[in-house]
Amino acid sequence: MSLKKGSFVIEGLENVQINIGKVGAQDEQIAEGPTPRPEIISLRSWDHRILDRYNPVYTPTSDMCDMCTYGKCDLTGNKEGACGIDLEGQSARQALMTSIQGAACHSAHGRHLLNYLIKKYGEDFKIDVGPSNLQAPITETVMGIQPRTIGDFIPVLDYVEEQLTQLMATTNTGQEGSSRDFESKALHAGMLDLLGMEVSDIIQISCLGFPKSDENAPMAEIGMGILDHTKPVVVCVGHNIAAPAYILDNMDANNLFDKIEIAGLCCTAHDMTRYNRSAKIVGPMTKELKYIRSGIPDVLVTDEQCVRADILKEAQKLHIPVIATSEKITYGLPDRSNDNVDDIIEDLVSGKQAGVLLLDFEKIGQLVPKLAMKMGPIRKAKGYTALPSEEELTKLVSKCTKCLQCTRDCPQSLPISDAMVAAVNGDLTKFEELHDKCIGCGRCDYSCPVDIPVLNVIEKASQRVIREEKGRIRIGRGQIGDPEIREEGRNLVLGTTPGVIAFVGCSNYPDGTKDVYDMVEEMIQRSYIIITSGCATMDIGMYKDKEGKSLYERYPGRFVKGNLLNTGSCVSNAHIAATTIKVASIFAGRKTKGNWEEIADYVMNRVGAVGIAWGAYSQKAFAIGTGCNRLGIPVVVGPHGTKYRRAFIGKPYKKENWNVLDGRDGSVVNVEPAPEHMMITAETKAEVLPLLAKLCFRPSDNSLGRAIKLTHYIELSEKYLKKMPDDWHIYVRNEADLPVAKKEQLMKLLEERGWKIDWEKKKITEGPLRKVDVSFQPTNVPRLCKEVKK
Amino acid sequence: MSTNSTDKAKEKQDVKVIDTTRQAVPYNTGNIPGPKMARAVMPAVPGKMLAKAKRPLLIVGSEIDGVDVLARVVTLGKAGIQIASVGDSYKYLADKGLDAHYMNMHALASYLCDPEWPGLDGKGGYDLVVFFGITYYYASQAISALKNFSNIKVISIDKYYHPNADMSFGNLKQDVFIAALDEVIAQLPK
Repeated sequence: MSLKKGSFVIEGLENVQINIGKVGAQDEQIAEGPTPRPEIISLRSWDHRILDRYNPVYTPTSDMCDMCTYGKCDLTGNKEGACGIDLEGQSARQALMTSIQGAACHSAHGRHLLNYLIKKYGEDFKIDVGPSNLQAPITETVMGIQPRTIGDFIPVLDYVEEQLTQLMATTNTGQEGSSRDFESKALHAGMLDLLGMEVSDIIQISCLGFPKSDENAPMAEIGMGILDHTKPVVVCVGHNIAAPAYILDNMDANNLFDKIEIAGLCCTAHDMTRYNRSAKIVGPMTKELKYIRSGIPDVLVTDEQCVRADILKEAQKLHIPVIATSEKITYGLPDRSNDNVDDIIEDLVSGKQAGVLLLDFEKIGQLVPKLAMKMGPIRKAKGYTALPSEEELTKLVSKCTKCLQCTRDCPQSLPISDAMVAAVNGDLTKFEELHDKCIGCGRCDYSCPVDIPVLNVIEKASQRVIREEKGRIRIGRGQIGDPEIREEGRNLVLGTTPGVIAFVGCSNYPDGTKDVYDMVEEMIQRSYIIITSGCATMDIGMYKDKEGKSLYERYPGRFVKGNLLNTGSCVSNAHIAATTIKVASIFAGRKTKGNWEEIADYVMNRVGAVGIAWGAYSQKAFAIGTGCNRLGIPVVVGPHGTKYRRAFIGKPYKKENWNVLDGRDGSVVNVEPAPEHMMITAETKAEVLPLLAKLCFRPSDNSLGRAIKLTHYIELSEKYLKKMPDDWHIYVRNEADLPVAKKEQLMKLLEERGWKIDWEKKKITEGPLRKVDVSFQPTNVPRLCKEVKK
Repeated sequence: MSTNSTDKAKEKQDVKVIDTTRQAVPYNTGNIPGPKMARAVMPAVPGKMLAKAKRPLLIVGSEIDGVDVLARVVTLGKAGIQIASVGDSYKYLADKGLDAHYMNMHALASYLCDPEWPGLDGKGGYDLVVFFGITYYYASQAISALKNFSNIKVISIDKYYHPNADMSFGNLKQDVFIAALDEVIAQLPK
């Protein structure tokens, strides 16, 4: 007899009603670990292990608390406020709130997609992410279930939402007061974020025909210079594919791709190219204001996340109608979801309405192409643009008084007045350099005392480089497939592949987008596996080598050393974290279901993976990073990341912090600080490259792997910082750990440090912290030891 | 007017008056942390404090690449002040024969708050931190940790007003900044 969903009454037992909900194969639904569906304190002991080693470091942006009517309270010097919370507690509470915001954003995105996709395809639609048995690694590890259909994700998001509500409750005045426990809760929120992202991407991959673990996914065009703006142009902004999918379907059905240009800004763009190969990518969020002010878009479609708050205001000035398609961003627009499409178009074309809220996807699909076909010719005839003419540009730059107020208000402190001076003399190259470094926020416009529209001036002066801004990226492939993990897992755990580096996050770079391209090029040439997602993916693809090839065209997309993989949009970050779970499961046979602590412990001690969000700006990026930290993956952010106000920094000088247990017998082993930090910032590209190499060290590295990692760490430090790292010797356990090419030279240096060397046998006889033991099973969790040594 | 007094007047005119207490408002306009913000000081103050400190630390960052600024870093280092070289600044100091150590700024801020930190050379913590040449917002955030979670005195001798320091110069033009550094150096024992 097969069980089905529903209510049943058994004959003879009429007073008994049996309700059956979701049915799954029994073996798939039995948790294998101790923490299926962890509550907010279920993993507290694991969190405290992380926090004991990686101490939270607080760098407040404000010394005040103004969260309740007791305040404002001055907490300077870690004083307590009226409610009893001190600055450390308040900073930790802010870290929690930031994580919750990020997790809520991704999970609400997932909820919207899930409801929509279930309505369209039904709960029983099978999930399919490619050649994998472990299709939803994070879901399995957190929830203890193995989802098979999209309906299986309903209880997953129910769980996420319930937990986020519990967490949010703890941030109210008069609730949690311990910074340590706020951080444990922030780590919980980060884990929920990974879960929400995984649900979002798996269901869209499964239902919408996105590439499924496809290492050969096709290329997409990217850049501000790619669109043919003699045609009507539709630009979709945000992160949610639902509405743009209908527009793309309508255009497909009506053969409109040669008549209308359609592209995306921010992660919606990624998912549009995953959905339909005719879509293009303008760029990340930093291009939003720049592109709107160019006047090129004839219709703007907004959905959710990373959408500028002033889009309607900016669009209105240039007569670009805005179609808001998400309940989360409605801009005060009238809801026209129940109105006739032609009536709406008439109101928008006539300018009677600057935009509309439209929540009916079918209507969005019909309306947008039609509206673009009408608006395009009208707008182009009028020549709408916010950018000044050549003559106006000359006048504007000569107005600059060099007061530097724009530089002081600029998040990157760009030398704008220098560019103004050069432009007065006919030299626009300084503005062209600024265009790459400018994040397009527009704060300079507000700061100028003589009303120069600074951003428009930068963009007008940079038209030459903007026209040439044409890159290519491999579209988002989704997950890493099980076969790839089988092939590469061993190399990663032993260290012979030096590491996985995930370039993720937003575009708030300290010194322009080119840095992230340079970093990837450096590390991929050193055979690191480079995985990307979101806006970082886009920026990496903006540049080309001398032969005109982007990095995605130069390097293949398989999960093996020296490859470059684009997983996809912001929610595809889940697959990057999930890759480490797959390594633990597929390579090492660790049980996943409901077994977060054991998996995270394995990842922290054995999988040389590190994330870098060089331009992270959003709460979402912080939540992703915090989730990775709970999974044992270290994260580096750019210098702006100090404004997240909290980092997790290891103290290598405290030897007792670096004790681990040997899983074979529970004996305590003092190991090298690996990974040294869980979340940290760096000031420049030159500083971060050796740091990335260092954060790939793991206690489990074998000698060959350690020698490879050490080679890169030393070489990168010498290349970029002009020095041998001060701590390189800490990572040497025996002579076989030393890079072969420099072995003798390094042994001499070790001898100078007081180590004993047997030069005849070329062996280190005294000095290292510990010996290499190929059977060593490092763990931070006592219960995982086979026999606990007393 | 006698020749003597004319010479003195001329000499007085030639000595550029450096006032580093002007424009003492956060360089990044929005960087207002709270009621406690740095006291604006003249260069002699950090100079004398550096001279008197038992174990001072100079922190410099990625913005010391200009010839004038780098020369002052070297002079301060040659005067015996230990240097924490953050960001990628070590590449400018590698061949200068200074007591300079690479350190990540964020980690350094954390370690300075820890009384158990053995310092860059294993000889213990520091009683005075002076800094310049670090990306403005990065330095500002990092020293907010010291301001709120340590007892170490922190002085900015950068060209920007740093509200999270205990003392700071105001926002200075480049020539005034260089002259101010020279005045700081002038206070150090020869």
